[in-house]
Parts: sequence; structure tokens; C-alpha cells
Amino acid sequence: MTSPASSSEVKYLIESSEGNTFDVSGAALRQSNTFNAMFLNIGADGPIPFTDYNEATLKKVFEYCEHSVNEENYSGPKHQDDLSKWDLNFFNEMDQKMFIDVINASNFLDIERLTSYCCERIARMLRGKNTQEMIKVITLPTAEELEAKQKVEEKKAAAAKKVAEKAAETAEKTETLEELPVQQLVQTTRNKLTRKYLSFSNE
Amino acid sequence: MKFLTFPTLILKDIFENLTLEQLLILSLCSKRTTYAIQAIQSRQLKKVEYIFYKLTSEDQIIVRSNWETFNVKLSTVSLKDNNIIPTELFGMKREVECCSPPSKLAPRYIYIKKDREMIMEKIHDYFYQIFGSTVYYQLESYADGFTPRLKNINCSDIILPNGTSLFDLKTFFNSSPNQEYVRIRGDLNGKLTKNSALFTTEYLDINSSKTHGDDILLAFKGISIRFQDTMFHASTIIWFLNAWKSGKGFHNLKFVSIASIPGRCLDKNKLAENVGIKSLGSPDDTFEVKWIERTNGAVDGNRNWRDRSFNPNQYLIRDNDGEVAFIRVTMFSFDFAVWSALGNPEVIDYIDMYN
Repeated sequence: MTSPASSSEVKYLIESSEGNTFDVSGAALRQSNTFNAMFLNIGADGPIPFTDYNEATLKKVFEYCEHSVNEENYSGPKHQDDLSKWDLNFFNEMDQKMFIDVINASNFLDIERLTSYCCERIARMLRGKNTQEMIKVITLPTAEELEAKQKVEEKKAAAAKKVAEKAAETAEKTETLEELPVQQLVQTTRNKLTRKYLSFSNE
Repeated sequence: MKFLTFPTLILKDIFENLTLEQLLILSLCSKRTTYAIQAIQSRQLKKVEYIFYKLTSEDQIIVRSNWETFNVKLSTVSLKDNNIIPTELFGMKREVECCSPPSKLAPRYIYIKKDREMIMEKIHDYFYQIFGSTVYYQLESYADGFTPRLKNINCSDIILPNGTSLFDLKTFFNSSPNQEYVRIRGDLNGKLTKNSALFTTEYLDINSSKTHGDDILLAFKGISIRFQDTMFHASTIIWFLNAWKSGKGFHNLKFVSIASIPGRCLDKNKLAENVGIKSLGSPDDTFEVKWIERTNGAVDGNRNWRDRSFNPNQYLIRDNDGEVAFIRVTMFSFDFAVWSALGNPEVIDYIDMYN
């Protein structure tokens, strides 16, 4: 959709990670500092791609923005106790996964008010808890999980090394068949080995 | 919630919604939370001004910043009563039995009594790591059978348990040299070496009826030293005054107070003869010298000072720079105050007036 934000009636098309598009009002979008910085003055031809986030998350974020269009300008975080019933329902009806996705999307879109309320909500989950209880909230990996993760990484590295060695062996055989000067053969094999090893390591 | 996978800005926003106490508890969750808080919220951590280790029968640590004060309570449990689920609190290994059981009140930490010294060291090391060296660390240790070995303490008030080894004390002072204030009560159980870090304390108070204070006075390099009920030889006072008068040491020293010397060893006239102390006219012609004296510990992190004065009738002039020290001697006490450190320096006029 086009046109710089001259009126709140202007609608923009947003594209999610699934490739789906949906409308958001200009007024709601303007709460996003990221949008303001990127598109406000130049407008957008076609859908605006926020393809790191799924449709449900983006719709939830812009639901909040649409709702707060008529609220006064944001002037710093409010305490959760000061939130309206609508705000509380908005947060309460999200499951944890959605809540985390909303925080990340809100952070990317730089929607100060929503980000701030989300952060305050997390802080609230941590307050009044001892260390053991906090650990449960923030879901730290256990020692066993860390150990298992390390083992998987070690296995991956070993497998990559094995494949690299095999590839080097094959390359060596192939190159030997071709009639190349010795110096050139050594250099070619070395380059191939390095490339393959690096590509496996990166995986 | 995979908390630590949040972007830094989100973590920062969350941390800013937490009090210092909550941040500390959160930092104890894992090494990674500690690092995250240190990296992202160091500004808030640096606002801590004062940490007070109060080690008595029930240990507690008071942490104070310019807007928040909280207590960390610590209790010991016996081996029989062991309901500790070991965690890695304060950077300790999992094998160390210390944990924070669920509580509706303020969080507290419990540990096995036999590990007390080690656990206090670990906790202090942890605080020092996250709050840094600019904090004023105060220690008050009145606990039985406990000799502190904490590093980089600024102020300590220690009652030495019976049988404290001199080695343990030396270890503590060497770990925390150049303290601002130290008060020691109890038997030192021996003689500290001349280069002990205790002597680099600025303000030192000793109350030790079974100890001779002579070596301590002569090795002292700080500003003020006070002894109470401590044994002394008159010859030590003479040696000290002569050294000061000739400018051979004690350049920083401004105040000495030795009170209630057992045995009443001092003789005012003998002292005057041996050192060249001058009198201010007749014994009744006295005036008051005043100063602010550093006294025990600190209150809420503010150093504790009190008004102090005495009426000297003798004085001594340092040969090399003409500095004057006012002196009062009785049979069982000795007071010494350097003119340039007094709160009423105009008293110097009395010297001209009486002589």
C-alpha cells in the first residue's frame, strides 16, 4: 500500500513469515518506531515484509497498537496495577509461547509501550521469589541438559571431521588420475580439503 | 521461558523493573545470569555503596545503595537437620551445601555450620566480583569460633574468639590491608610482625587486656591509634615520643590514646625528663584541644565520628618542622594530639601565652 501517513484511514499491508498478508491501519503502524524510520516518509509499494514473525504474533501485536491508537502519548512505563481491564485481558489470554513471540516482535518493531508492559510483566513474575523459584520461571537448562547439548555438539564435530577426511581421500584419488604437474596437484587438493572441512564445520 | 535468549534491550528493560535485591537473587540462578546482569546492568550494580557483614549468632549481610537497603539472612543448620538441596549459589560448587529454601518472608540462605568460614568467603568474593571495589565493605564479627578471612574489607570490628591463632589473624589482615578502621577486642595470642598489614590501618582501636601494646604502637603507620586496658612499658612511650620529636617515623600519626593501662606504669616527670616535653605554665593552666575522632564501625555505611577533647598541660615540638603535639600524661593514661590535625588550631596561641 502506498502514501505516507497523511491520514489514519490509510491501510498498510503486512506480510508475515508464512507469506500471508493482512491490513493494519497507518495510525496503529505509526506506534512502531521501526516502521516510522523505514516507511513513514517514503511510503511502501506492496506489502511490508515483517517475515521474521508469524501471522498470529503480528496480528496480536497490531491488535494492541490498534487498541492504543487513541490513548495519550506514551510517557514511560506504567505499573501493571495501573493497566486497564482490556490490557490485562490482552496479556492474560496469551500462552507463554505467544507472549515471548510478542515481546520479540514488539522489540523488533520498537513499540515502546507494549515492550515496556511485557518487560514489566516478566519482572513481576520474578518478584518475591527465591533463587530456586526464579530458576523455574526463567527456565535455565539443567546440568544434564547442558551435558547432553555438549555431547551432541561433540558428535557433530566428530562426524564433520570424518566426512572431511573421507572427502579429502576421494579428492586425492580423483586428482591422482588426472595428469597434473605435482605442485599444482598438491595445491588443488589442499584447497579442496580446506573448503570441505570449513563447510562441514560450519554445518 | 528461555529468559536469556531475549535480546539485550529486553533484558535491560526487565532488569530495570527489578530492585537490587531481586537482581541479586536472579544473578544467583546461574553463571550466565550473573554475567548477563553484570554486562547489562552494571550501572545499577555500581550504585551499591555499602555492604556490611554482621556475623554474630545469626549472620546477616546488609547491602545498601543510594536508594535501597536490603538484608541477606544466613542461618546454619546441623548435619542431622540437613534438608539442604545443594545449588551453585554465590558461585560455589554444587558440592557445597548451601541453598535458599522457599520462604514467604525475605529470602534466606542456609548452610552447614562447619562450612561457615568458607561460605562467608565465597559470598564475599561473589559480592566483590559483582559490586566491585568501590563499595565500602564493613565486617563485624562477634561470632564464637569464627575468624574471618575476607579479602579487601575496609572496616572491621572483631571480637577474637578464645584460641584464635595469630596466623589466622595475619591472614585476614594481609587479605584486607590498608583498612580505614579496625577495632580488635580479645587476646592476640602472640606478637605481630613489624610488617603486618594491620599497621597500615588508618584508625586502629585495640582492647586487649592480655596483650602488650608496645610493638603495635611502634610499628603503627596510620593516623590514629587507641588502646584500652592494654599493657604498656613506660620506656615504649619514651621511645615513641623521641622518635616522633626527631622526625624518625610516625609522620602520618596524629592521635594516640592509651587508656586504663594495667599497673599504672607512667610517670609524668620522668617522661618529661627523657623526652624534653615542655609544660604550659602551672599544672592548673590548661586549655581544651578538640578534634573529631573516628569511632567504631559505621552506621548505615556512614563512618562513625564523635567529638573528642582533652586538656593538655604539656607539649612537644618536632625538631625538623616545628610541628607541635599536645600531651597529657597520668599514671595510667597517655594522650597525644598533633596540633595541625585539631579542630581548634588556634590553641597554638596558648603556647606563646604561657611561655
